[in-house]
Amino acid sequence: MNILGISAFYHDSAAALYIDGKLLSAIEEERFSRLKHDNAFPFQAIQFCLNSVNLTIDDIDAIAYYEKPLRKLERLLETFVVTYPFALRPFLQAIPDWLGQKISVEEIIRKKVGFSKKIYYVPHHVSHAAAAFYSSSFNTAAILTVDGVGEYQTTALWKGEKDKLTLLKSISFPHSIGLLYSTFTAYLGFKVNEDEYKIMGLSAYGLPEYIQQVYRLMDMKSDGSFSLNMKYFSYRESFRMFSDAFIALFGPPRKPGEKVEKRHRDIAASIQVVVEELLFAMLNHLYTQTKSRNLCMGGGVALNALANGKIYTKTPFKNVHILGAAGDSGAAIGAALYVQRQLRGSSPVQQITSLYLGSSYSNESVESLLSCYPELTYKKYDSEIDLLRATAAKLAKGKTVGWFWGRTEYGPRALGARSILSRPSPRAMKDTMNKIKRREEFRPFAGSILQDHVHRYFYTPENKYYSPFMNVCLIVRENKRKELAAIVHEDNTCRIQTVNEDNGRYYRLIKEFYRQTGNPCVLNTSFNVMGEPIVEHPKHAIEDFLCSKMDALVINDVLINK
Amino acid sequence: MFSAIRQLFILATKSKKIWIIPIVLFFVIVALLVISAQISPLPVFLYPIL
Amino acid sequence: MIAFFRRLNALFISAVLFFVYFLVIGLARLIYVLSERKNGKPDSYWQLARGKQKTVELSTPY
Repeated sequence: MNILGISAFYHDSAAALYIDGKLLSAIEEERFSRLKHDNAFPFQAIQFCLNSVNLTIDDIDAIAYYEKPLRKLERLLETFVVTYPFALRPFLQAIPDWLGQKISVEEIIRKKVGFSKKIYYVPHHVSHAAAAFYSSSFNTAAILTVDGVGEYQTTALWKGEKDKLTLLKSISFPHSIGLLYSTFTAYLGFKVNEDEYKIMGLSAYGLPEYIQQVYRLMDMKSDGSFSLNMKYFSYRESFRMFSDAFIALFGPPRKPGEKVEKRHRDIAASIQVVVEELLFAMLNHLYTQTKSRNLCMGGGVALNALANGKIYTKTPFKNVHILGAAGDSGAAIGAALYVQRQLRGSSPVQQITSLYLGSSYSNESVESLLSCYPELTYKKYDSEIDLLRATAAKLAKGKTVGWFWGRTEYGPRALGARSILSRPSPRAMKDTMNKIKRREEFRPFAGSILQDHVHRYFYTPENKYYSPFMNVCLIVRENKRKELAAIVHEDNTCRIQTVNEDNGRYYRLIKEFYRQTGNPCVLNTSFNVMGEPIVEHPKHAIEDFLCSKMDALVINDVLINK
Repeated sequence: MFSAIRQLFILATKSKKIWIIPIVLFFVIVALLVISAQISPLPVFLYPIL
Repeated sequence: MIAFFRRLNALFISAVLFFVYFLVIGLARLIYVLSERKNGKPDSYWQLARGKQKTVELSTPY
């Protein structure tokens, strides 16, 4: 059975294709449109998924859409009714958009995609829960889904047992951890639904001196449930997330591009602390409801790697699975998985161990492209080991290397297919990388480490710790902080990816680097400059290479120099 | 073209929220205007007059 | 000429929506207030999943 999962129209539109229970391809629309977090209907992503397995739309048996659009419209209308008469401007913008496009998902799929068979609409948080649970290796698990908002739900507790997902409890809009965090993102002068992770990074530089003010924004219960005091938030009735009452509490908002001051850092630290407190209270309550030591998490808030790294110490959960694409792009996978389970009944567990699901390019196409860039020199290696030796030697010498290999990753993280790499020390490497990426200087970098060595460098819940999707921040051991100086953040944590044979050539590269230097870890950042999605085509990689201070570029078997 | 109108009727019939009915009724009219404006640049403001 | 009419159309639709907002949403608001009941301050904000867990209906966009 061939099932195509789709997410669209809010942010991170994407398509994911299951063939007979196996996830064979998935990609976000932004990689083709080059618009970050593109929310347009993912025509190009769908076409890619079909082409990658030589299928046409007629070969697809079912399409799984990641939400119920009419329930979402109902919630939107209810919001306008509740906030009457203050929400005129959002009303004037939203309604033509909905009536002109968003309401007609079926028509778009039938007429523009050309699909004539069954379309299934999977509720948004069900999509998140399915993506989190069915992609894990667990037969039973507690599941927490938490995001901005789906149709109505913003937070949900579930129990997963084999093929069954049981909703236990939920919290509805407008009370939302995701929107709470996004409000602070907007207040601190960053982009909503795009820069939330910057607040996470900024929090390490501040002290939680505004916690009492943050508590005033909500009523928090000991079971982790909460209610936001809407007098401080205006996202229901205006384009601004925070109200005048919010400003009176925290002071004037930071304008985009303005200098980040101590007050901003402290506010970031405060919201991070409170959100963690909320999440752990929820998780502890979820444990009492399910008594399972296995935990799956989904929804955009599950990308908060700093909170994720503390789950083992703050809650009874011992085994945690968070799919790398935990946000709305992952919901496309979840929708397809859920439909598949409903149609096929009981099926074997299909753990997702790799997110290398996107496009790849041949050496021939790369060499043909390079003929258009006479200013570049390159060498094509016939032997992988020679390529890896040369690349690792560059990294060992402190060079920065663009690494473009194999199939592109699905989700927001670069996992060694479209990465910019360097050695993880000295500290100055961080400044070098920030200049290449044109990022704010407070932003930390993540690392990739050979799985066998992770417990030597980090405090992990167990020796054989496995974190393949880079969605957890762990504390770096004191005696290793100098060796990883460029990726140790202000709070001594690092967002880390464990790498093993499943990572193919990327694993072998880091092994070679380890052989040459004795360091089993590399600095790994996504291959893009600020404001762009991760590179998709070798042309994007070459253009970024040319306009940055990157020292070398490896695309497949070809090593390129300036 | 009438997909949006059909979806609005589905919403009105499936929703258990009574206050949605007047909104959906008027949205049918607005949907017709929006869709007409998208399809053709002819002045839709003439429709009420016609 | 076409661009002019497109702008005029957009303005007209906005005017209609303006009317819809103040009159129709206002009417809906009245019905909403009369039909919805407010609860006092609860011990928990969790909403329980109601009744027996039924299979999620997938074939409709609602």
